[in-house]
Amino acid sequence: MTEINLDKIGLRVGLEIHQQLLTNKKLFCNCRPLESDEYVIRFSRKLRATKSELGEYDPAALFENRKSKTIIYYANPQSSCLVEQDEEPPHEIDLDAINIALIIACSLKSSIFSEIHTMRKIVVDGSNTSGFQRTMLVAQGGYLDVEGKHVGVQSLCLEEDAAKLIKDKETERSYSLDRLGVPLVEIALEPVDVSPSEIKKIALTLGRLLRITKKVTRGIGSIRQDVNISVMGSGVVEVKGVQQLDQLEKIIEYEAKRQHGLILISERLRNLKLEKVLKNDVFDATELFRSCNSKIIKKAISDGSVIKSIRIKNFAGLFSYEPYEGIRLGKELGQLVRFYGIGGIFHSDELPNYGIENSDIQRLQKLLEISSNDGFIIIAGENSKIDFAIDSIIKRIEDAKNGVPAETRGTTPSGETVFLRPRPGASRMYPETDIPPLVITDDQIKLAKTNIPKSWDESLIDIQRKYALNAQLAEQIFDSEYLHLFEKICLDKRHSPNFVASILCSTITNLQRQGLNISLLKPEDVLKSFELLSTNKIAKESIEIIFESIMSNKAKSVEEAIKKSAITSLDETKLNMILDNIIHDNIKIIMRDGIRSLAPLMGIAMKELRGKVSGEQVNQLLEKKIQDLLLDKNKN
Amino acid sequence: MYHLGTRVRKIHTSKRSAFQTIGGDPAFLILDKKIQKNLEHEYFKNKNYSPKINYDTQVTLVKYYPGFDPKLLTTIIELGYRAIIFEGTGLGHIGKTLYESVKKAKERGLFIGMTSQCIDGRVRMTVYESGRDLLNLGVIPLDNMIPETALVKAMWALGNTKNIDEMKSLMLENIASEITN
Ligand SMILES: [Zn+2]
Repeated sequence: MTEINLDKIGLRVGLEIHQQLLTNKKLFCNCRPLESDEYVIRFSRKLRATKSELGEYDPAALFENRKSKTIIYYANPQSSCLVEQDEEPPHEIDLDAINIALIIACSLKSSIFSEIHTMRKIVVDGSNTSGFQRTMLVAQGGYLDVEGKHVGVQSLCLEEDAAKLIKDKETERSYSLDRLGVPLVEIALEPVDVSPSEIKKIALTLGRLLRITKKVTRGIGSIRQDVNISVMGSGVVEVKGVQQLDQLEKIIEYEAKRQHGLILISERLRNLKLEKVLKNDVFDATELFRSCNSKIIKKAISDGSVIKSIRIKNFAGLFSYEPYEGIRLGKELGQLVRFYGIGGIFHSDELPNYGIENSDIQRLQKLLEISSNDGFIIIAGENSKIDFAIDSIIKRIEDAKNGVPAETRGTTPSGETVFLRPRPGASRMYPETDIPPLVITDDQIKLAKTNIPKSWDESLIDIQRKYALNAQLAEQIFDSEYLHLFEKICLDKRHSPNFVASILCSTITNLQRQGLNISLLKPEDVLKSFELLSTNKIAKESIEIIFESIMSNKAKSVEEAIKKSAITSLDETKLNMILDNIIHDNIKIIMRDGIRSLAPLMGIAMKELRGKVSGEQVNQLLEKKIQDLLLDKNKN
Repeated sequence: MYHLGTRVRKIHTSKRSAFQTIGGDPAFLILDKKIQKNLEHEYFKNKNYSPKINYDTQVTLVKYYPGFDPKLLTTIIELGYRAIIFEGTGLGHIGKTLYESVKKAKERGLFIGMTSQCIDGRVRMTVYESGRDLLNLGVIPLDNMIPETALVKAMWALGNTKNIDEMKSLMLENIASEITN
């Protein structure tokens, strides 16, 4: 195994950013983009791949269709109507969204089309009730200025966002419709041959360019990054849904290694001049494995699965050939079959193992009529699924001879990528016939040009001045998801912007680092907490407790969090009573240590009072009480 | 149940539940012998208003059907009517044979609005070619206004303005919940 040299493999990376726009209504109806967990409406559909209106099947559509899942949709009438349910044609395109897209196009110096045509992009995972996503090509060309270097813009599209995935089970998948139809811009940058760290800078710059318009939403899921990655001689691999910039670098590095590794594997395969794997290389081995001691095999057979085996001549050692650490054809095949709801495969290079013994292998080799020079795969699955998985394995082995198949991949938390689906073909797009072309007037473009926001640096200085923040905190709040929320909270002049910013930037981030779930904390919760603070209903310290309680799913609302953590603002009599009790219980320590007893007593007091009264207040009161007591003692 | 006058339709000749709200929930419900508001929005767009009680009955409601004689339309124009509300098919369509008469009506400055024969739903005239043709001829789609409401509203609008552009914006403005979301 060798280390990879990223400079020498022709790595090219293209960024694609999806950013939700901040509008009052959705792109094709009057519904407001509100997220809530209350769903009064529930209905289900089954998706079938049909020919597009141009008469072609999309390969990705067929692929997904084989899984034949039932899709269940949940909807709230406040945030969705018949348009989202695909029971009513789309209304006019929201002009506000168009105008924001034009502003962004102008800041990227892109060429805007004089007519905008809406297209349908086939989506087969059920995330659109209609089976397609509407998208409009608004502009092309232009560039993003990244510290003086120009990164070309390929295209800027205005699209409708997809439904939100709630649950994904084997036979059933659930979505909610509140996010479906929210406008978003998709900006695709030209692929560039730069290092992974430079890509991060490009993404950050583009994100900032969008944020300074103040017309884009923030918060989890409001910006998504996809990356198109290729190395010399590979097909383009699209990696979907990179949520955080820090993850971007790792993923590009992994993917570069994987792709170059696959190219090295393909060279070895081609040198061997292997025969093509055919249908008659597939054998039913269910009977043969009935006597096998492997727990996995036993369970599969008792669940009614069939067990099949594929022979691949002269393939011994090729499944586990590992040009780079963790890059093996065997791993690729294992991920591939998971798409069909099959747990994985066993291949000849990893056996005997997993309870499959030498005797099993010998009998299998006999059935397959192969020797130890040859390879084989064992796969178990339901009768209805297994042949699809086998077809895809055979195709993947053939593709392996050519290097890197073009496909769409997802990410793992550890920064690797996994197979999601094949790359959609060109037939995935066809015209949306319900919406006439929209003419963009010169006046609209003129207006957009006058609305190009100030530069990032100027915007930062504005924020610094307006709220008297230091540069670091201003940058943090500007890059965070919380700028709108911050400004909203600071409308109440009783709050200190510094305190608000540090809660939003560091407290929440810290809780997140502890592994708590940020998506449970809604902007309303944050607003409500600060409101309670400004009216002295809770202490400063309570905010963190409330957030912690909500983010750890112990409480569903601020009120519940307060109740559960017993946060109440204590009236003074009660506070005095509690402190007097503590003093009474610890009188010996006070008499012995004098005023130095304040620190340990504070600890005891705060255990009881955390979140109810500010530490500062307790400290003052307790100090006074101890001093009074000592004074009395000296008098006597 | 209490229904909005602009949204209610008599759907049965005799039953107790003959009246029903179309395209929404009833405005008020009687629960525990009390009348309770069931509307999520306000009935009137503006809280403070002064009634403009003018109307002009030179408006007609025309239900389109296959084989509709274009001469009927020409006659309406010649009789001096100022506005026509169509009850079209589906998403808001009438046959090609009427295009000439529609054009003539527009030339004479008539207001032509489109509603649907369907009980519920909106007209949407960008979906099919014939709808787009009619849009190009100047027919105004009236969203989900029920035809009878559109007729009465057109009489009122015509009573308050003779300017076709003003009439158009009055017809499309949601004044008393005649259009629902
Ligand atoms: Zn809607």
